[in-house]
Amino acid sequence: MKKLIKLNVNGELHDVLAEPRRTLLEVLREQVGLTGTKEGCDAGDCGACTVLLDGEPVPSCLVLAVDAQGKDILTIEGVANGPELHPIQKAFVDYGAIQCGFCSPGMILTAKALLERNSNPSEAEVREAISGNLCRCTGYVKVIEAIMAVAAQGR
Amino acid sequence: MKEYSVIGKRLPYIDGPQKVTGQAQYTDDIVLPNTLIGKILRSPYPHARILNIDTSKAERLPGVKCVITGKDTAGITYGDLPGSHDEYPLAIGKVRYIGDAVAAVAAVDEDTAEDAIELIDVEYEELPAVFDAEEAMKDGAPQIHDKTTAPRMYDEKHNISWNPKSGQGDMEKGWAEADYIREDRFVCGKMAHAAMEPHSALSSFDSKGNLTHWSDCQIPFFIRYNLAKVLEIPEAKVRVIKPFVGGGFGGKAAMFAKDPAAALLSKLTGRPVRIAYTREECFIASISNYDMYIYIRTGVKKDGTITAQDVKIIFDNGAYNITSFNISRSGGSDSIFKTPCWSYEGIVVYTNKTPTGPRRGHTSPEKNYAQVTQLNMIAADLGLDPIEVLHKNLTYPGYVDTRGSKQGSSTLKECVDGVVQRSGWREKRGKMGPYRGIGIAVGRHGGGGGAGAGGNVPDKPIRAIIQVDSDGRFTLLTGETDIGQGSDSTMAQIAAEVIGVSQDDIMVYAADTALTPFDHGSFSSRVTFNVGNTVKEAAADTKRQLVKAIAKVTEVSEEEIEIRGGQVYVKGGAEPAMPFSNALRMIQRSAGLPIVGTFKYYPTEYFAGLPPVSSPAFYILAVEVEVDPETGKVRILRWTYANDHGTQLNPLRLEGQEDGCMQMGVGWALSEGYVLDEGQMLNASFLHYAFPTSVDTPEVIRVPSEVVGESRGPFGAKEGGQGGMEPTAAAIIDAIYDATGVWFKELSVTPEHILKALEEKRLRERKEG
Repeated sequence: MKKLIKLNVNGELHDVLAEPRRTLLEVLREQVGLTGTKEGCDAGDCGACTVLLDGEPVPSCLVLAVDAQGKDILTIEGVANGPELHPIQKAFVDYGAIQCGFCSPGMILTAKALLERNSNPSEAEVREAISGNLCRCTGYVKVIEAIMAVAAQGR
Repeated sequence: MKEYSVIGKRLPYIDGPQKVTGQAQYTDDIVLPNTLIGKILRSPYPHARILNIDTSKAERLPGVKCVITGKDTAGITYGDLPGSHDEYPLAIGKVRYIGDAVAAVAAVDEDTAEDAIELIDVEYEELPAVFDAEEAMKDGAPQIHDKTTAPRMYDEKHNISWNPKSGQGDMEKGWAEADYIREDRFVCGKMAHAAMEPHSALSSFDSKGNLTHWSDCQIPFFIRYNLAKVLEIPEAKVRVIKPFVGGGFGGKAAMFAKDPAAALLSKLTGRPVRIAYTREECFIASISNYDMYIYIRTGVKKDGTITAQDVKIIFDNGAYNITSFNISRSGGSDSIFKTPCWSYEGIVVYTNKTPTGPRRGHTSPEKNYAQVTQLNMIAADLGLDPIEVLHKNLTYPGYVDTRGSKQGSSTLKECVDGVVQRSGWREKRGKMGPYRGIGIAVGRHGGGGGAGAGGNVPDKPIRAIIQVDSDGRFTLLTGETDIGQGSDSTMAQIAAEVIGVSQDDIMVYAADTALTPFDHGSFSSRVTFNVGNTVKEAAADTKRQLVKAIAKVTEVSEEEIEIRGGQVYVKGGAEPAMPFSNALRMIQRSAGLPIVGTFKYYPTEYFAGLPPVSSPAFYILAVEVEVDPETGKVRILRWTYANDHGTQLNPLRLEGQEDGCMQMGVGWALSEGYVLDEGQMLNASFLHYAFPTSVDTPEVIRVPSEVVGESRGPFGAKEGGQGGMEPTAAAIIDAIYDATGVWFKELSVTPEHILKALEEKRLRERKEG
């Protein structure tokens, strides 16, 4: 039985009609129409579906849309400032931290959450923070470099 | 190395901004109105006859628009390579592996489609199944295919799909000259590609019977050919578009059931149909890498110089051929070691498991693991310095191999010396303390693959088209397939360099079979070489026409006009004569635009008259490891490498390729692999499949190698996307040997294997001591 769900996505309110068992991932992609958040496994194992809920990275395939009500949801579409890329996005581009790009939205959101709670992470802390975001293309090397570079810029 | 303006620069991908903002559209992101969701019913048995399929209950479920089985198809097999077509879009007669596609439904939403699948009743008669290639070759083994489905198969009774043999030189003489001969059996387990984007298709027939098909694939033109074939419609009515692709690594170099099923469902319903595989389906029902049994026998002189080598490889084909007709056909002549005589036999054997296909390196890394590890073992047996043995056997420039190909220039020796020095190999080998070790390995990978590198379609030339109009942008039309490795960006860089503008001035439109010229696809490391040369020539044609047009509207002769950095110069002038955009406006005013440059490329024509040359890329790697004797876990501490890529078109991108090969190589050696029970995969999820995360990858040390541009690739570029895999397992295994004294001949070497081997070693030493 569908329910009216009110979601605050990237600062905009969306009224969505969906069954309570629908995940936030499904609702974002299919009803809100934002396909930047990716489905890699639908089991919470890969991190491709990472969004921020009140600043915390969560696997949106394991969050029920109803449970995301009343929270600030940030997807990849909300990271840039209009046409201007966020420093993390820019660093990912410049440092070669993206190849196929499929893990990138999740990676970028995880990185954003990390740098907001810890503006001067060690490399080990960066590795730990993104360990839930799987990548098959980059070996994580340039992803870590890009995040460390943004942290250094901030200082 | 020659200095270029755009080539050789660490430029970012041209589509980076789209990817980091979520704007890049992958197949599952494309939305068409009125789309139905498709799902596939798969066999629960590894081998069974289909006696009956009753779809009536599924058809009656509200929201279900169409249900199809094999009888609704034309009953035509497909595959990747001529002569190897052995798979039906939906099973007819029998199923051959757990996951084989039996039926498909299209429904208004995913839940309804899943419910409908459950309502299809299939009556199976289970048949004995076989899950090991050596078992499948034995007399009396269950017969998986016969000549009705696989007319060209080599031996029906023994499940042998094909059996290539080759060799060069006088083996008798070679063995006679050996002072020492070693024989070993290596085993490489079944491995997943595990690209992050699950396989997907979106298919839409219009009312005129024209099909538009978006496919998450590496081979859009082959998919067009295969769809036309199995749907029995002309290729001209099939348009395949490759959107952004979230990685392939060879795992998307085939047509899968999703493609013909979605297309046929769309044809029958008159609506677009989307089929997106679950992660489990990607593991079970797409393709994996070949399991391989490698039997290798090598003779050496007492100084370690190879005199003869025999390699026999049994390849586990899984249930269907896919690309198996194209796997490495030779043992010795494309080895990194000088092998004056060699013999090779490949035996490709069907089993009742997930079909196998090419994974990054296409069985060459596995063969290299065996060849390099055995040579390292020989060095240890004879008490020789492994580095000296390497230098004695490596194929240096000028060496003519047994097939008459002369080795082009390379920095192989310098790379070996550089890695030995930078890694501290001499100071560390045997001296790092208990359970720590350093290992070294080498590898090579050819590129090019030719225009007809094994493909469905008749061997065809490829073309690039560049159009330039008054706004100064260049539109490049090319069939090449960017799957995340950056081939679109590479083509933009090449075109920009030749014309004299910047990478951002080139707009690349690629991989749309209706609009872009033909290209075979991304496999065999053929794209930079073949499409790169094509684009380079098309850009040169464009530039010639531009220069001619500028000469016409100015007083300057053609010979004196130069274009660089987006400016037009008169030869000898330090200052630009005018911006390129001004020149274009002048040409436009004289009705000289648009200018269209093009080139038709066919390798045998392009290289006609040139002697055969071998210009593989070379990969040298030293790895440091630490083994935990309590848990068996191996930690990779340091990864020191030097690669010879010839002219590096984009060093940033090449580093990225090496890093990706590192992740895949570490997983291949230490943790990945299909865990199967009677053909059922038990670890079909990222949680259990165990591929390396960010905490598993080591410190990477890149040793710069002097680039030497002798290669027939564009600007002297050599291969770059797959060869990084070649030395990975061998280097890790060599390091583990240094750390523990144990050689591991079966991959992957999981903690259980380490602990078991250490225990056996302790017991052996106690007995001897």
